[in-house]
Amino acid sequence: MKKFMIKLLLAVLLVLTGQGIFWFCIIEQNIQIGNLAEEVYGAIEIAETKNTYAEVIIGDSVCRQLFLPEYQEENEDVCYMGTNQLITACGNYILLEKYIANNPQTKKVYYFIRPQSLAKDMDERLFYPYFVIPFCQQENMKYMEEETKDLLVEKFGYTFVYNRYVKQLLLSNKALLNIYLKQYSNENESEDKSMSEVSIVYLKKIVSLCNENDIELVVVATPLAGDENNYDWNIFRKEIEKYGFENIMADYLNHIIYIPNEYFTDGVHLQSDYVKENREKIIKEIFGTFPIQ
Amino acid sequence: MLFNSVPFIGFMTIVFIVYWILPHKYRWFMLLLSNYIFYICWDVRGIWIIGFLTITSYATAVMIEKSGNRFWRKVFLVSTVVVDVGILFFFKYFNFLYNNILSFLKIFSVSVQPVTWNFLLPLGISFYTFQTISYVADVYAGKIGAEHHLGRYAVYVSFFPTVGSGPIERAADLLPQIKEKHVFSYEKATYGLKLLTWGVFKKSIIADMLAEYVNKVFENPGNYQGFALAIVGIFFSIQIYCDFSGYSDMAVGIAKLLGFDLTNNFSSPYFSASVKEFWRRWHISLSTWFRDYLYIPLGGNRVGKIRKQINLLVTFLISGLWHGANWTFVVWGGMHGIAQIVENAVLRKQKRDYTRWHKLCRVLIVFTFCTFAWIFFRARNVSDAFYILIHVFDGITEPLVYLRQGFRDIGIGKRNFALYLALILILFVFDWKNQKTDVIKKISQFPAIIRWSVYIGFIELIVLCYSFLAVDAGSFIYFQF
Repeated sequence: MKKFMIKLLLAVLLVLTGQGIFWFCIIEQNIQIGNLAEEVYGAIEIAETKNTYAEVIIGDSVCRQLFLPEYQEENEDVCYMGTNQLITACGNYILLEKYIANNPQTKKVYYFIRPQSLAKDMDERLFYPYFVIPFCQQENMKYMEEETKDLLVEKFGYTFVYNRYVKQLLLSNKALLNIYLKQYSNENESEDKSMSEVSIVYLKKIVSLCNENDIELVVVATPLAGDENNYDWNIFRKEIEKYGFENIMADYLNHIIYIPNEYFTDGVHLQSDYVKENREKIIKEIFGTFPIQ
Repeated sequence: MLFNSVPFIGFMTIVFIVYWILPHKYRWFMLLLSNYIFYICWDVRGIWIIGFLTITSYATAVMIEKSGNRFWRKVFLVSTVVVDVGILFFFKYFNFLYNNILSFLKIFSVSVQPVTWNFLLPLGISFYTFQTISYVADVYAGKIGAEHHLGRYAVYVSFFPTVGSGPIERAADLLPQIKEKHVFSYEKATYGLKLLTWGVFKKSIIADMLAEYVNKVFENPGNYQGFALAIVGIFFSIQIYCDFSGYSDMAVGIAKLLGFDLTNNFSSPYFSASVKEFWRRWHISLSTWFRDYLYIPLGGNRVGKIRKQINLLVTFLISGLWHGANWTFVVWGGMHGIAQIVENAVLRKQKRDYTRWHKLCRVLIVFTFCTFAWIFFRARNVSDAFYILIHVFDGITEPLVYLRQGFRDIGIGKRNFALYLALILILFVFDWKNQKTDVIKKISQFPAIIRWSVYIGFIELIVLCYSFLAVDAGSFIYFQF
């Protein structure tokens, strides 16, 4: 039995050494394995690149469904930069800061987002890989409020927010990420009926950013499932007034288009076949034209 | 605790060390404790049921042995079967039967207030009830003597490597091993560890990897057609094999670490040249159980041709139903029964040695048949299964579009598909070679440097695949039984 235990320990040691070497190389070379949050990295890359578009559209995953990067060729005026609700308004603000810095010719921003996405806070289970890993880099910290930084450190710990080796490892190693994220269940799921603290704070910053750069900001709602009777927008309406968002969200709740439930896969995202066949019609109905201008 | 989980690694480490340190006379008790701790971690309430069945079957076996009266021996046997099957029926089939009666009564416009009993199926109930039935039946038939040590018998019923999903061990094979003194064997333990690793590869990598696509399509088959349906059908054939045989390999490997030899439950079933052969190679402990305790008592091969085929069909229908309380399982079992009846009637007695191409054709035909049958096994209901069968060839007239659209619909990228293909190839090459020679033993005979490179390389592959493809550890398909 001694021989068995020794050989077993030796095997474990060899495996761990092999793993250690592999992951060290991966992290050192900054290689990302897998496609978790690929839409976020795609958007960051667009934001850091100069282009000639006069307008840009940002928003959540429904925005991205209707404005996939593959459709970009149809539009020479508007840059498609939709991502995911998980990055919250804070992530969208950082994207815009970078985008505008690289593209001062920008004249208009569409913030195309579900009301429920504006209700989301930084407590979703996948918030860590979608926001903390891509956005908590040294160069982006200047865009965040001190309170946001403190909240992130309190929630995730300094190492997991700032250490690039740890973040890189978790991004590429799904097994470790699953283990790490197990402690973050959606216990404090955001109430869908009102805007979250992070949305209010960073929407204000987006408004300021646009005003400083003489950019028109339009906040537009994505299509929702069911009909208007399924939703209660009273609190939202009051908050739009309370926080002074009437200029950018005057018609936000009035012009929501509702699509029957059967065309949604999960009550949030439209079926891909439906999008393919009706995308043009939906965009025309929401924005007035196709492609949007 | 799943075998491929971190808590189980801790549990098994302690069990392994304590077991081999303890003197032989205390080992049965230690195993019993481990078995029940393992069981409680899964299902606290189920402990009463397994305990109850252990005691009742123990008592009836002893009474059968002691009784000289044929009538009373039969009564004890029948009562055990009735109690065991009754408990199994209650937990597993009550809602199914009740809902079918309601549907039948609705045809005659008789409406009854529906009642649903929401029970969580006790872990392994389908397996340990069959173990206890086979034990009592074997005592009745005089094949074995009754076990008079309740503790050792309880170890047999609740043996933790097998209690969740088999193999269904015969008392004649396992009870003597529980009684005999085991001396630590380096060869057996290392073989067990290698088999366990192979099982982890099949279950945690291949089965779990394919489950993502299979679940997506089978949950909403109406959203898919054509090649998407075909490929998930094939994926499910591989998934269920890897899930179940992977678990069996883990169970056998774990038992070997403790010095026990269990039944080999799978023998490269997808290389079978007939459906009959498939059932000699697939879930061997279950198919032999049904052969010995259902098919043979019904008359087996000793009756006329027509009666024999009826016995075969009945056996497979019941075997199908054993897998789950849904008509889909019955259809699946029926398909296999009918296939064998057709084989018996149509195929002439073949020479043993097929030509290579003849054998390959037959293997592909059997695999295709099994895949079609598995669709019923996996579908939520019969109409979903028929939808899949009807639409699986939609668009096949344009082969390239058919294939491309299928991959796109289920969301597999080229890179991932190449990885899956490579891993599945490893699986099939291993199984193909394993038919003639024990591959694990063969590798152990290589020079040390090659041997260790293979072992460490393979484990690294498993860990890396798990890191890249990790899904939340899903339960074994057969745990629902």
